[in-house]
Amino acid sequence: MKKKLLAGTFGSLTLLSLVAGFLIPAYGDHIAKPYDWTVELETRKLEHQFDYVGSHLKGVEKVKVSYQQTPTAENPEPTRQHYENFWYHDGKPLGLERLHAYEITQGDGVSILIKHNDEMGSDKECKAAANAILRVILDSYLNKNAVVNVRIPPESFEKVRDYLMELGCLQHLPSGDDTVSSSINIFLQTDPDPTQTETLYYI
Amino acid sequence: MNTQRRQARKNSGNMLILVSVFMAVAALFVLCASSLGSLFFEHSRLQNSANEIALAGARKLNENDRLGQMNNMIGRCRQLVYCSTDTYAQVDTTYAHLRHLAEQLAEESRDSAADMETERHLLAELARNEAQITMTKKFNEIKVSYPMSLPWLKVEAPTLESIVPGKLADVQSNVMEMKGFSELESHDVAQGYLKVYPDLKLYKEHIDARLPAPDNALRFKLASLAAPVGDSASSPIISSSTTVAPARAALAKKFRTIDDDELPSACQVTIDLKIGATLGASTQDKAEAIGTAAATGGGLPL
Repeated sequence: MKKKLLAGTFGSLTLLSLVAGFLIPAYGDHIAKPYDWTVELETRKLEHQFDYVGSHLKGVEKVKVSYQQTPTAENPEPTRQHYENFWYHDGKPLGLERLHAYEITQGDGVSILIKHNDEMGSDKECKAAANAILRVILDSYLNKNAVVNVRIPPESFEKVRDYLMELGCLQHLPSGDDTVSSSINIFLQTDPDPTQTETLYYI
Repeated sequence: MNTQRRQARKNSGNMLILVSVFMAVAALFVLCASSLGSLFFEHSRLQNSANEIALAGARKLNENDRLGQMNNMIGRCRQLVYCSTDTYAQVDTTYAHLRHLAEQLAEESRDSAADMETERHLLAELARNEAQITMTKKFNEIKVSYPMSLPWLKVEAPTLESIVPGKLADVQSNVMEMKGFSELESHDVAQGYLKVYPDLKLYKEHIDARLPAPDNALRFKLASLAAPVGDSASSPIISSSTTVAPARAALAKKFRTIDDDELPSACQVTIDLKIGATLGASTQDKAEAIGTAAATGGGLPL
C-alpha cells in the first residue's frame, strides 16, 4: 500500500514537473515582459537638411516610429509595422508623416523602446525622443492602451528624462493641502538591463 | 592682218576689266556673306550665353535640394498640425485628464507651422538673391569675350537687361499625397489640392493648402518643383532607379513670374548685344536673347 502511495506521489510529481516545465517558461516570459506590444522610436540625425546660409532649421532629427507584438511561442517573429515618422529641429517637431493606422489591440499593454542610430544619442536626438514619447503616449491612451514602461539606452537615460521634465513631466508630485493626481505616469527604465529606473508624472 | 592684231589686243583688255569687276563683286559678296554670317553667329552665341547664365542661376536656386526639402517639410508640418488638433479634439471629448498634454502638443505644432512659414520666406529671399548673384557673376565672366572690331563687323560687350525668378508652367510641387488621415485626404480632394497622375498624386504648385478649421488661418504654401520619378508603379518616387530632374533650359513661353514671397524654381535672363555691321547687313543693330532654365528637381524625401 505504502509502495503504491509512494509510486502515485512520485508519478504525480513527475507529471506536475513536466507540465510546469512547459508552462512556466511561457508564463515567465509574460512576467519578464509585462506588455503585449513594443513601440520602437528610432532617432537619427539627418545630414544636409536645410543646409544654407542663415538657416534656422539646420540640424534635423528624424524619429521613425514602428510597432511590433511581443514575440510569443506561437508567433516568435511578429511583423514590425512602420507607423509614422517625425522630424524635429532642436526638440521642436517640424513634421509628421503617418504611414499606417495604430493597429494595436485595444486594452493591450505597450512598452516604448528608444533606440538611437548612433548608439550614444546626441542631445538633440534625446530632445526629439522625449517629445515623440509624449506623442506616442497620447496615441496609446486614445487607443485604450496602457504604456507599461519606456525603455531607454543607459547612455541617454538621463538626457531623455531631463528633456521629458522640460516638457512638463515631474519627478515628484507636488505636496500640499490640495490633492494632486497625475494624469499620466511614465515609468522609465534603462534597456536592456533595468539598472536605472524612474517614474515621472505629467499633471 | 594689222586690224586683226589690234582687235585681239582690244579683246584682251576687256577680259582684264571683266575679271577685275568680277573679282571685286565676288569679294564684296564674300564680305557681305561673312558679315551676315557673323551676325547670325553672334546672335546664336548670345542665346547660348543667355541659356548658360539662366542655368547657373537655376542650379543655385535648388542647391542641396533646399527647395525640395522645404516643400516636403511644409507638407509634413501640415500633417503634424492636423494630427495634433485631431488628437486634441478626441482627448477633449473623451479623456479630460489628457487635455492639458494634448493642448500643449497641438499648440507646439501650430508654432512650428508659423516657424516654417517664416523660414519659407527667408529661403525664398535667399534663393532669389543667391541666384541673382550667381547669374550676374556668370554674365560678367562671359561678357568680356564678346567685344571685337573688324573692318566689316563691330561687336560691343553685352548688357544684362533683367534677371527674373519664377517658375515653369504645368510643373506641380514635388510633394506626394500624404495619407494616414482619411478626413484630411477627403478635404484635400474637395479643395482640389491634388494633381492626379496614373501612378502618382502630387500636391499642386502655387497653392496655399489650408487645413480645415480651426487651423485654417495657418499657411502651407507649396512651390512648383519637378518631383523625382521612379520606374516602379507601386512606388513611383522611391525606387531603386529614381531619377532627379537636372537643371535644364526651357522655352521662354513656359516661364511664369511669381510673387515675391514664393519659392522660385526657374530663372529667366534677358541680355542685349550691340552689333555694328559695316557691310551688307544693317548697322548698329541690337540683338536680344532670353535664357530660361528650370531648377534641379526635388530630391528623394528623407
